[in-house]
Amino acid sequence: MATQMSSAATVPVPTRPAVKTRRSVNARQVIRYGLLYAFLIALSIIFLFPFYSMVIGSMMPKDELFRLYPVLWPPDGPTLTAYRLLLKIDVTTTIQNLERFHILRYIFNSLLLATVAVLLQVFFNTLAGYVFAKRQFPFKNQLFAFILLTMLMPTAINFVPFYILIGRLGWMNTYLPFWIPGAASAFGIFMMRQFIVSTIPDELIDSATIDGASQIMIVTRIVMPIMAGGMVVLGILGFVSVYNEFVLSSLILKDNDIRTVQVALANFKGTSIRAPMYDLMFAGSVMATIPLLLIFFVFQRKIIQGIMSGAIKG
Amino acid sequence: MAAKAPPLPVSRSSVGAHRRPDARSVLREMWKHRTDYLFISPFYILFAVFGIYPLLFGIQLSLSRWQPGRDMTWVGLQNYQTLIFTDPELGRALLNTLAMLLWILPTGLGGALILAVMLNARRLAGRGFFRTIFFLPFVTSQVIVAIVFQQLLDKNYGWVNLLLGKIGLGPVPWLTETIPAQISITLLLHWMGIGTNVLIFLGALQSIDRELYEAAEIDGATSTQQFFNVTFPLIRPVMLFMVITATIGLINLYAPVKLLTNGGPEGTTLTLFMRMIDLMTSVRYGEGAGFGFIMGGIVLLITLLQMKFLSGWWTVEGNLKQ
Repeated sequence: MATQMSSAATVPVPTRPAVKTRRSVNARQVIRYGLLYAFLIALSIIFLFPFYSMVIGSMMPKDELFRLYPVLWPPDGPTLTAYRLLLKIDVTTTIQNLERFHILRYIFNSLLLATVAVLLQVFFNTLAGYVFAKRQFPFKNQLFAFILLTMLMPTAINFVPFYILIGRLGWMNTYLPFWIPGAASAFGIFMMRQFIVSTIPDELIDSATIDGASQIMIVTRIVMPIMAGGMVVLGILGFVSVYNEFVLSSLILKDNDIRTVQVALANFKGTSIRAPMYDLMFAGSVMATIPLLLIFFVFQRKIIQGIMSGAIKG
Repeated sequence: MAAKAPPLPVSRSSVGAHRRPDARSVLREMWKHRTDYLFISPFYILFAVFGIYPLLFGIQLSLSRWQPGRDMTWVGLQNYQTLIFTDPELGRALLNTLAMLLWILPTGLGGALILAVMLNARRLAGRGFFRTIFFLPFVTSQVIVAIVFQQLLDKNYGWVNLLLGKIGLGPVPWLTETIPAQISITLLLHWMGIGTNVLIFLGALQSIDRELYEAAEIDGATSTQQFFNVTFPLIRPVMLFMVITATIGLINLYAPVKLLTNGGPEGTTLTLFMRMIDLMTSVRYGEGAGFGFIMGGIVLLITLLQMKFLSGWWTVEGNLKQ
């Protein structure tokens, strides 16, 4: 199906038709578009509000967050106290658990975990994607069908024994469970294959082969440079999902020093059920989101087009 | 590398020159393509170690009683019996999960489709702007969203109840009563995920030829008629794909519920995946493994039912498409 869609997408479809003299904009349409804009703007405000409440909440004194009537703006102006507390800048605190809460360390852990995971994923998936896109060899179709079939395997079916296996390998409290098992994935191979099939002409590979280039040279010198864009899309989607992963990391990363920022925040949240320290949790959340926001705004166009082309299911 | 070699000598001796004269040439062809097999081998090796092996181990585990450091005792189907007949949690978690599926699936996919159709309006300016805003929650994690929503939905100090109070509706205990809690989880998931679905639908909508709409317009079709007679038939395959993947994702629902309600109040938002993790962390590995197989069976059953009932959706109707 994705093949169909991407081939359909290459057919030039005018996204905005040239202004035609057919019919001038009538009153009914003005009203319709007015309502449409009103609805979309209202919905946009609703969608942005959680971000706003997180950012402004991180700059409010704790008491303001527990008023019977929440306020949009702190009456005494925004303050950075929560950030100073988290970063332990010239403040002494008596808040329990905060002493052992090293937000920058956790963010670094998350970045390290996600970066290595993504580099491995992108390399191995591109390698296999190239072979399935451009090479002919015995049992190719069967092997590829098998990869697609594995996508149907429900996650839950082997989750418990997988967890036990991680323990037996001595991989508890390490990042290996996030790096190794996912280094080559059915989804990634499928996606890279689709990208490569539609991007790289066979003649290019053939002429390189005739010139005596080895397969690994063809992949690293020809395929990867051309596919950089596709690899970036795959990499970013992988990065976001690994950076935000919670289920497995909450079960495996128990040591304080090795926790990812998600696990640490969830744990911090758990320790303060009775009187949530929202100011600190919001400040931590804002800091944890900043790396992904930066990536998002730099690569926005690529991510959105990648998902829209249908090659990707987020 | 060396792992690729063994099949060769073994099969050569067993197949030999007996029945299939081309077996040898196939093997020679395979040997010629050994780098290709090498390049694709990581997936199969990793899948064997981290997919198949746990699966087989899980079968054994689900039929045994075992704790780390002890011997494994064979107990037959006892774990399954306990899970299905004695333990009330499986049925409860299944009902909760299905109930949430019924909340979330139609509103999520229907809402995303309506939004995509709106954003696809011909003369809409700022399409990219709205698209970005609805997609922005993509960067947040389930943990952070749960933190933010916990405060927004707080019974006494939250924004949602403040606004409801303004129009005369009493404070709703969003996180401490069953139906409101399920609605809260639905809202959270929609806020996080609807942008991605909108993008996929928008991609499908934009691949529809505009001329079809113009033809329908000339025939006097209203926009509602256009939607049901042109748009929907053309995007049904995408819709079916999304119904299936969303269902599978929702049956595995864990983090938002764990962090927002922790399965409460009184276990009424406990999901299947949460129950499995509970069994696992309380070292009831045999039952946990069995639970995994039951869940896998449920996922496959629901997927098959959806495929059966929506089988007409696989294809695009008639020759509408160019």
